[in-house]
Formats: sequence, structure tokens, C-alpha cells
Amino acid sequence: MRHSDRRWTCGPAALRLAAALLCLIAFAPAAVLAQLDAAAAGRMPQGLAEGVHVLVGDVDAPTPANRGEIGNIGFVVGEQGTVVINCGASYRHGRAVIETAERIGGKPVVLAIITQPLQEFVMGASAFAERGIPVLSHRASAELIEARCETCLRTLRTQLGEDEMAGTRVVVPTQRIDGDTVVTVGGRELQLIHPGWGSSPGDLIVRDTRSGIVFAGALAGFGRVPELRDGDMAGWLAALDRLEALAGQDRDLIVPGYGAPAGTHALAALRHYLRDIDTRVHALLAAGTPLLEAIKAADLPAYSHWARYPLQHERNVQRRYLALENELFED
Amino acid sequence: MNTLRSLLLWCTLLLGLPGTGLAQQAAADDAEANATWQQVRKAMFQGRDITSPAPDVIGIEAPDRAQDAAIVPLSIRTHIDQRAERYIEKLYLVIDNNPSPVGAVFHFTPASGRADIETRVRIEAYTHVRAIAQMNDGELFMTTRFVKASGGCSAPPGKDMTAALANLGKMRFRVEAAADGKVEAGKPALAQLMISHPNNSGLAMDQLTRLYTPAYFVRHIQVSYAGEPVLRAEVDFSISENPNFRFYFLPHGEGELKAEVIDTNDLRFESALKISPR
Repeated sequence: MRHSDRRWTCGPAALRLAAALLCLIAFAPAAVLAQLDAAAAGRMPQGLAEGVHVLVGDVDAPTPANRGEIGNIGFVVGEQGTVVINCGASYRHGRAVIETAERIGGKPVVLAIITQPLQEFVMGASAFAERGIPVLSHRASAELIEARCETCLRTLRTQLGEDEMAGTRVVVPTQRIDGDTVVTVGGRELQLIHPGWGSSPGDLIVRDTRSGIVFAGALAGFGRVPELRDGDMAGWLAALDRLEALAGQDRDLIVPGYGAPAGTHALAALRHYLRDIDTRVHALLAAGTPLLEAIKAADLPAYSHWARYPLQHERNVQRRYLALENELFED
Repeated sequence: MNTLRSLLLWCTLLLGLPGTGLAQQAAADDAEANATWQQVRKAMFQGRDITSPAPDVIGIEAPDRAQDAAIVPLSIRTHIDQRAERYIEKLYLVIDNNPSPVGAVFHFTPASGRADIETRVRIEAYTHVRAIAQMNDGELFMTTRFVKASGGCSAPPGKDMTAALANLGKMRFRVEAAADGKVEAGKPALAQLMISHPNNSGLAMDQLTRLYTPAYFVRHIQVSYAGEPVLRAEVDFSISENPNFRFYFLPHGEGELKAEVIDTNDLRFESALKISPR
């Protein structure tokens, strides 16, 4: 980690300045467009503390209207460089994210961290790779990206169009960690915490030591039905406890993967959702309800105002049902 | 069996690979015109009349938009009592835009009680799904439903193939009974058969190795009650992994409900339940 950091901080200053200027010129039209896009969508980065910013994205499914720009992107600006948390949904989006990062901090982007192997966090990595910016994730996330993201990219091309996805390719993170790691990048210390298999096998929580602000990635979304596909139910609840402890240490502020930043109190609703769906599906399966009927019968109106309800909720019911059913083969 | 297999092969050869752009555009209202269906119809039913729709005989339920294209629940419900003089003898499940459109052929007898089937299928593109009932006198009835599903950001992480194969062929077999644990004699009873099996289609590429996982699926299922057949099915990889079937049988006196499953490697799995009806 420190190695890559040094690569940036120890280069001859004049050369770096020239490179930055060149990039500015080359990227200027895209940058201006990106700024306009973000402004048009009401999406401007929001400052949370000294050097800590978030670009809050859409919470719905990807559509041509939201350009796939789902989920939040974090920025931590240090003395020598900026770390970006999650890469955006396409090459174009990734470029805009880098431009935003360098504009708010006035520092080059020195590292991108992917918290989960989800298309909205992964596809923008092609823009980071093009700039030679290292991309880091947990080993399990890197493996999943390698195994399945080509399929997601194909689907995204159909959903959003070839133009929107132009230049996008799947970039597998080259910097991989296996467990909790403390890194100093761009002159700022970050704690990378792997709380076990929660929302996905390679979940990472990023805690900025200086401000105490915690980036939860897809482990926590607020006001949005979570995706259970990659999750482990018990592990997820345990990971939320870890997240709460980390956020509660100092400054009580969580940047969720989706939705507006909030304090640890906002985790309660997510915990309730996970427990409620689990209880309901257990009961339906125990009563011998077939899958087709279970999907209809597992409506949870308490969450019907959340983004992506009912489609994502129905998906979750099906996934939970099949997971519990498969457990029957284990005895 | 052999007829079905050669037919499947024939269909696959004849049709090449359906499910391309045009096929995906198929609208819900041109069910009869679908080119694949026209071919299947000609191959399987020649010039015979098919009554469609036939709500008094057969209906099919499925989600309009599937939650997961790899596992789409389907419920085929029939409205005919299985009597010796008139009963549904066969049910064909056809998924027009799948690489192998004829996904299953189910055979019933009067001892089935009812010719209903619930299962889960893979659907690779927006498609019409059809259930065609053939009566014992050869009369044909069809129900059609349009399902929107297509392969998305597919495989969830989980057990690797080795771990999944450790459970290969394990079966869970159960019967829906009253509170006292008994079924009623002479009244169709609902049974569920779950088989742990990858049911690989042979069409999915492993992105890491760039190799296709070889086709390996359950192809034959036979269920009998007290030695009498109640359900026989020839199925293929259109059925989702861990094949799951709900069906009926007619209990009468003590007997054993027995399921026998054969896969494409000719492995044979068995499971049985003792039934003592009230």
C-alpha cells in the first residue's frame, strides 16, 4: 500500500504538475460535461468534514435516465492525494468521478477502493486503470469481479446503451487485502475493515481515522431495499454491529452505499428489514407454501416506501426462500 | 424417451440458437405466430387441432417479470378429474425461446388424481411459455403465458462445484398432510420432490477458465404409489438447478410413494415415503 502511495508522492514535482496540467487539458470537455450532468441531476459532492466528501447517487435500478449512476461515491483528501471510495458505473462515469475528486481536493487521485463487487461500484474502474490509479478490494470481491462482471457489463450495455457504456471494460482490482488493514495513502490514514461475509463475501468498511467518518458501502443503504443475492443473513447482522461500533467510536456519521449520510440510528430500519424478511420466509417455507405463492405472500408494507420496492423485495424473498430450502439438503 | 431426445436434438439443429434480438422483441400477443412454436408444433403435433386457450382444462401461472431468470417458478393447473374414462395423459412444457424449447414432458395416469405440476425453469430470453395437455383420447388443449426474464448479473457467490456435488442426488420427498399427519384415501394428495443436482445446461461458460461447464442434468423421473405409476417425466436443462416438482397422487390403502431419478451420467437416485391414508 505504502508502495503505491510513494509512487505518487515521491515523483518529481515538476513532472507531476505537467502531467496534471496535461490531464486537465485533455479531460476538460468531459469534465465540464460531467459537472453539468451532476448539477442537472442535482448531484454535487457534499462536504462532510475537512477533506471528506460524498457524491450521493441515485437509489433506483439503472435506467438510461439515471445513466446507471447508482450509489454513493466517497472522497478522502489528504495532503498529497485523494482516495476515491467506489468507482462509478461506466468508463464515462469513472472519468467524471476522477475529475470531481481532483476538483474538490486539488490533489491527484492516488487510490480507488471497491467496497463490494457491484456494477455501480466496479465499472468506472476502467477510467482509473487508464490513469494508472491502483484499484483495491478484498480478495473475495476481486475474485467475484473476475468471475461474473463481464456478464453484468453485457447486461448494462443492453440496459443503458452502447454509447453510455463506451470505453467500459472490467478491471479486476490488483491490490487485494484479506482482512483488516490500516493504510496511509495521499498522506491520510484509513482503516480498511473486513467485517466478514455480510452483504457480500468481500465487504469492506472504510474508516477515515482523522474525522472518524465511516464509509459502509453496500453493507448499509438507507431508505432502499437491500440486495440479498450475495449476502449471508447472520453475517450481515453481525457486520452491522461492527459497523455501528466503528461509527460510534468518535463521530457518529455513516456514509451508506445508497441514500443520504446519517448516524448509527439509521441502521435500525435495515436490521429490522433483514430480520422481518427472514422470519416471514421461514414461516412460509415451514407452512409448505410454494415459491410462486411465497413471493406474493411475503409483502412487507412497512418497507413499501423504500426505493426498489416491490421488485427487489420479491427478488430477496425468492433468494431467501431458495437459500433456506437448500439448507434442507445439508442434514 | 428416445423420441423426446431425438426431437430435442432435431429442434436444436433445426432452429440453431433462438433467443436472439428479434426473438426477444416477441410481443405478448403473437403467441401462435412464433416461429419456434410453429416448428415445435409441426414436429410434435403435426396437423392436429389444439384448443387454446382452454381455461376449463388448463392454466399456467408464472411471474410476469421473473425475479431471477435462472429460477422462474411455474405452476400448471388443470381442471379435469383424472378418471379412467377421461384423463390428461401428457403435459408438454414448451419455452419458445430457450435453446431447447421442449423443456419437459410429463406423463400422468388416473392414479395421479390431478395432472397439476409446479416446477422452476430457466428462461434465457423474453418468451412465451406453453403447457399443452393431451387427453387419453388424443385431444389437445393449450395455455400460454408471456414471461419477461433474461440472464442478468448471474451467479451468486457460494459453494464451489465440489461442495455442491457433495450433496448430489440427495432428495427431499414430502407429502402435504392434515394436522394428524395423514392424507385422505381417495382424495388427490400433494407431494413435493426436491433433488439436489446442478442441472448444468452445458451452455454456461466459466469466465475464469473460459471453458463451458459440461451439460449434466436430470433427464428422467418416475414416481409410483403402491407399485402403480403416478408420474413420469422426461426433462432437460430448462429445469433449474436443484429440480423441484410438486404433483398429486391418489392415496388408497397403505403404500409406498417411491421416486426414482436418473441423470445424464446414468446415475440413479431413489427416495421413498410410507403412506397410511385415513
